[in-house]
Amino acid sequence: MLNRVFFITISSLIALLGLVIFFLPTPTQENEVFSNNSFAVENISIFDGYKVLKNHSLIVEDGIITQVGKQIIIPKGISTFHGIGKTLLPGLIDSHTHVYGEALRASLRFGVTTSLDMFTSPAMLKNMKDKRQSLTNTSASDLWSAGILATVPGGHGTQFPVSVETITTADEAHTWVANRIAEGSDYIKLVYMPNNNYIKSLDLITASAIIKAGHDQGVMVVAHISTLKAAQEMLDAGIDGLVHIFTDKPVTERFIAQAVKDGIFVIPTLTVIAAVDGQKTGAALAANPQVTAYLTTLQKQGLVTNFGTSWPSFDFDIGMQNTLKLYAAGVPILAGSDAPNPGTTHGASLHQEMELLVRAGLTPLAALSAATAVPAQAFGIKGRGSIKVGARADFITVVGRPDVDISRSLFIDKIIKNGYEVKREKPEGSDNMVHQPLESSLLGTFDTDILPSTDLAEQGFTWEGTDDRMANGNSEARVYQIENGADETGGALRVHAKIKSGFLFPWAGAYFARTDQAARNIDAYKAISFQIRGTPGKYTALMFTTGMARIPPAQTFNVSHDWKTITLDMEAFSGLKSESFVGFAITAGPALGLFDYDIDNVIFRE
Amino acid sequence: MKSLALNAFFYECGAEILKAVRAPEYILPTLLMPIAFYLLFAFALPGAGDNNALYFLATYGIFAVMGPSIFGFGVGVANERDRGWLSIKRASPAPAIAYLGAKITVTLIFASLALIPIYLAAGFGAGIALPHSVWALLLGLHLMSVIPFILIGLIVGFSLGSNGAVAISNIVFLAMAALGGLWLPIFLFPDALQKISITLPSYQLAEIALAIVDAPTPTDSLRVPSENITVVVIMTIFLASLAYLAWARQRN
Repeated sequence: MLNRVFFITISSLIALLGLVIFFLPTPTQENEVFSNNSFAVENISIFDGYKVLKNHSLIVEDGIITQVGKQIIIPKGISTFHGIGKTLLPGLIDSHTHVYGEALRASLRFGVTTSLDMFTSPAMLKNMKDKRQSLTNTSASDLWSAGILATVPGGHGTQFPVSVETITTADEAHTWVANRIAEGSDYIKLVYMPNNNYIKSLDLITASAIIKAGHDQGVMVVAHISTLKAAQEMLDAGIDGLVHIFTDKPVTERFIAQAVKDGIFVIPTLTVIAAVDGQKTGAALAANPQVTAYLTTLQKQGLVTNFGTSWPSFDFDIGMQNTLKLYAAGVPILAGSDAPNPGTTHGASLHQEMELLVRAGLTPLAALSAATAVPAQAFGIKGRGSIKVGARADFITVVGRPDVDISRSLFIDKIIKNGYEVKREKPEGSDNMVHQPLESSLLGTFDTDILPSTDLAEQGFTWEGTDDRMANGNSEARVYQIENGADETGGALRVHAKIKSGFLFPWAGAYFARTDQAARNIDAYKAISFQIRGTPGKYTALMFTTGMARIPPAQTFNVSHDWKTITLDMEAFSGLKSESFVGFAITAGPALGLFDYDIDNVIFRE
Repeated sequence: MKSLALNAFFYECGAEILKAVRAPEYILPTLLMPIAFYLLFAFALPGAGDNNALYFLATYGIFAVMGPSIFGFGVGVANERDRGWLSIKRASPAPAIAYLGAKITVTLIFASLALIPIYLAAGFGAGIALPHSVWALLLGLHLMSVIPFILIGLIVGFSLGSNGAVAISNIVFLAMAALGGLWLPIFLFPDALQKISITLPSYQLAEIALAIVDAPTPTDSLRVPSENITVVVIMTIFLASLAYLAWARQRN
């Protein structure tokens, strides 16, 4: 009997304990979205911009942080979430980005609440200042911008489809800077890459005049450089900051000492340097499960593409070493992604920049500061980059401790902008859109006209001329049908192309696409083949997919006066998203001159 | 022999449980006092907020298991020794381990019963939400905490007569609770008292519990639970040695 008393007691007690543990409240992985911009966060580790405050709480009222501390009283009725096991970080600041299209939205999806643009069209600056002062609910990060950059005709920065007011002499500096300020630029960025044999650049006298003009008119001036020598010359000229680390040579003691004394800052942009140096960091980021779910097809494509060419003196290891030496000496290091260059993308790449800063030797804490408090201070941006009373409620919460393991910055739990929670959804239709297969593999035989095969022509696909005038270049292309194609039964497509300078990568050629740019799936095809003859030289075949905003996947091939068949494997179009094919082009360029060439029997091969 | 020991253990347990059920006036106070104190400090007193409820969940859990351990062993063993019950036990074929094991098991049962209302009040009254793993870990720690207090109870029980054991058990119990920071955080105490506090197992165990629930630290110091665990292990070994000595001495 005593036996049974014991067994009954102990089994009911164990069952009771199990039930209690099971039914006790657990943190709701709620996805209670804060519908107004007043709330409280309790018991969370707060990274305030420089250090971690454990078990703190904070209160946000109308989009502004009004209390931070351990023992604060949370008013009744205010929505509250518990942050045990989580870390709260100030909204991230990307100190080197180029903004257009969806950039500010893509940035905010990864907790970047402030974007410091280093060259974009002045059209993007419209409403920028009003927006960043307001505390309304938004799905986009706030923008500070250099607007147009200072460069010479044909220099770095002129290769994009943005009209750039160039500058060639020191006399123009004052007016040029005044024009930027009038357009709304917050600071001035100049490109200083003298004495190289691949691109034109401002000379030292003009660059120095721009720095002086900027300072005279009360704005900061930062410089794009790629060599130690150029960096040293900019330092001597009184630059405020460098927007890349130089990667050709190890930094000198003299440079370090002077940089510390003059108080300049450096935005190393290791992410883009890794991409130029072929480190495939972009592809690794695109494959990260914390990242990939929030990227659009376009962004993934941007991450897996590379520069396609190697540039002189881009050594990633030297870049990391120089960054560490400058950091160790006390030079402020700012995290910037240089998105959307190949291998980078807005938002996600800033997290990778922090990771690369840690790989270079910074502590995780310093890397977090480089993306928060340090840029806010360097650019004089108040109320951002730190968690303190009076600061704007721009912050993110992440699961775990990014101050110990920087990769935790990507384990984003909530993103708060202007005190409102941002729904972390990627734009609709980006990945889930299923495109129907291309109606026919026969893109064009050009036997009677320049239209594609009937199935495609009925769908609105056409062959047209394409040239770099859409990017403010001067090249011209004209396409028309000629008799006597390669197969001698019908015609061919003649392309008359004038490649002229004006755009960094000039092109002109023939383009196959639907007029409305609707996408098709070409997954079924292994290769594309066509016959071609014409002015001898190197030509390029390009594949276009949805939402492209950068150099499309391409392959080059040689053409001679005689017809020959070119077959290009689809796999060799690196980064191609074959499920959202939009168009195909065969172009001449970038060599300048007149090109006449004929194309026939363009066919996708299974 | 093995089954005899086991049977003896089950019977001892059953008997202890029946004893408590038939004379609840001895055990009820130790079960009810912790939850009453918890409700008072975490809910009723002015300034009580959610932070307090979480903080005191950790510390009052230790407080709750201390009662059954110190009194059950200190007073219980002293009583049974005084009445000659221990001598009879020793003469009986049931091994000592069955007697001791049953007392420990029953202590764990009462400790659980004292903890459950506190957990329920914290979870459903104060809205404290913790992952299942944290609740379970906290329960595990709170139950494990009986070990040093049982040893203290044994030392008292083996060393003193029943009257003395009641008095000393009360003093030890109150000192452990108050000085150990179970009622109020020790940073409120004068420095000298704080120095005493950190030598108490109740304080060290409470710190581990606070680290488990990630409660706010009242000062800027960081919790290092691994240090607290080391200290508790050392204290336990020390108390076990003392208990062994006390047992050996009363035997002779």
